[in-house]
Amino acid sequence: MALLRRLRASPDGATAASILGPCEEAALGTALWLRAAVTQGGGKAPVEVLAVGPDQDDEALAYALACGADEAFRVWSPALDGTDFYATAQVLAAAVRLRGSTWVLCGDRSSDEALGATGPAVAEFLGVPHLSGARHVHLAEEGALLVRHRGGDVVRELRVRPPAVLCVAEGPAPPRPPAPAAQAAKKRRSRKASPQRLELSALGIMAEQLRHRQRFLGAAEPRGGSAEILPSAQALVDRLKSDGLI
Amino acid sequence: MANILVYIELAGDRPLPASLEALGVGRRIATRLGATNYALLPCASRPSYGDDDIITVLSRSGADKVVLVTHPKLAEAPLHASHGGAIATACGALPPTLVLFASTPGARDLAPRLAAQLAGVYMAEPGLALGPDGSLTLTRTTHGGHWTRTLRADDLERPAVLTLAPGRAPLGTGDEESEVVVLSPTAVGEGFDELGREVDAAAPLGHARVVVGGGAGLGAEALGVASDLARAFGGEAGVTLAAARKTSAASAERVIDATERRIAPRLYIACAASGSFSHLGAVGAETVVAINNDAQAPIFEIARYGLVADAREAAAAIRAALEKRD
Repeated sequence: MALLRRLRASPDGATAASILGPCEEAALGTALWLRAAVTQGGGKAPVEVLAVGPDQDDEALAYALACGADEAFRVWSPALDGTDFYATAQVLAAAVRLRGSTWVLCGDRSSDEALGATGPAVAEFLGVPHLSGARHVHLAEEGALLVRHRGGDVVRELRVRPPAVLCVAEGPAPPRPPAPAAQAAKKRRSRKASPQRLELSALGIMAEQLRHRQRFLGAAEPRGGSAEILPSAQALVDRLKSDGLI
Repeated sequence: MANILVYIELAGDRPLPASLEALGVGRRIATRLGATNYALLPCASRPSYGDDDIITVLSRSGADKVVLVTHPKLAEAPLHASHGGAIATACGALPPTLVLFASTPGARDLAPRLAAQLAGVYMAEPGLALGPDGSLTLTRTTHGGHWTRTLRADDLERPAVLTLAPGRAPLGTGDEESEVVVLSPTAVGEGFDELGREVDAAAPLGHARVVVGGGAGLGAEALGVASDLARAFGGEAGVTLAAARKTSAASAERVIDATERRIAPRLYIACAASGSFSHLGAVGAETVVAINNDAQAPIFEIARYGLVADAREAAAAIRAALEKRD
């Protein structure tokens, strides 16, 4: 299962340049790569993609389907509007549990909110281990995965056993989606080529459980202003010195 | 009385400088709020005592009390899978209103999960401001540095868990001897099997106070130009992902990007980098300087200072100005 979200527009409505952030791309690419590796070994590892978000997240799920994901699910309720990572993770974990997924991959950190909290929180709700900053995920023996992790002054290779949540920072890019005509033909052949809706009630979650989380995101404001353009290198050095930065 | 827990990460048998800075932040907040500032030290065994032992260092750096949670498994590098149980034990015994971590890869694994455990609030690398009335305001940037989110801690009814960027705060001060509280972890995770390790040659980028980044505009010279300027500042050099694609294998190890490596220096100088979301999302610098010959480059929107100039020439001129200053 890969957890995805479309990059959000800025609070002023400016649309993000890409559908997925780089870490979500790496998570999706890793999931598809692992499926191929398992299939090559004679096994099965269908890739399901899941989003908790408004209609715009269908764009991320459709992209994932076009890249080769097997099924896509989206959960949404107005009660989730403006909620923070905690409520999102609560819903994601319930959906993962419903689908019975063994491995959960998500982006390490989105490039819009840049919090990096959703994956660890999903793992907490599922009661399984997680690893942030996962890189170069590969298959190991007995259904485990090998993961590289950078910490301190070393890069370690770790063996992670299922079930677990991996927050992927670096991995293969997903295969490029086929041309629109080929996508349309695929869609006609399979009802699974469109994202499916999951209702909160089907996950056993009441809207009232989520609403109180809305205040914890913090008020958003444009940062405003732009760089003070200095006339020379000397002026810059003087300014950095007076600011106590050097 | 409110409890502030500051997680102390070790490098060998010494506390990370960034953890001592976080302890200093905890000290200042605790003094203002009348709270108790705890240094939380998960470790494999009780540290030895001596003239400059770790308990004394933590005491002098602002801890009211030092909480030792000991278990052989805690000798591993900190991750939730191994250290989560130790932290949960401390939070159970001393319910916190605020938990502070120095922002390290280990902390980025531990802190958000703890926030979920506590049903708390999580902020990664916020700016902190203490008002004259004792109010605490947390601010962080989003959307590649173009937006900010602000939370007043007074508005929170739940514990807040924060990671703090290194190099931003002065050390705290305290007495010679803090009280030591010893706890046994109620549960210790198995951790992950470590199959191998190698030295991360570019690790100093993660804790440098000054970082110079070379962008694609410098072509194959990106790392060279950035390294020369970084040396003049006593800092470290990296490159953008776009620059690395044009240059050498050495550059690939020093990519500053959301998918590669995040940095949080006090000063970041971007040379000929346009300012992509993915690059800026990896830079949590207190002050950004942009040098670019395109005055319309997005990086100028988030930088504090800018030079509209050829980055090679500007870097040479800055080096000359620094030498003159010395």
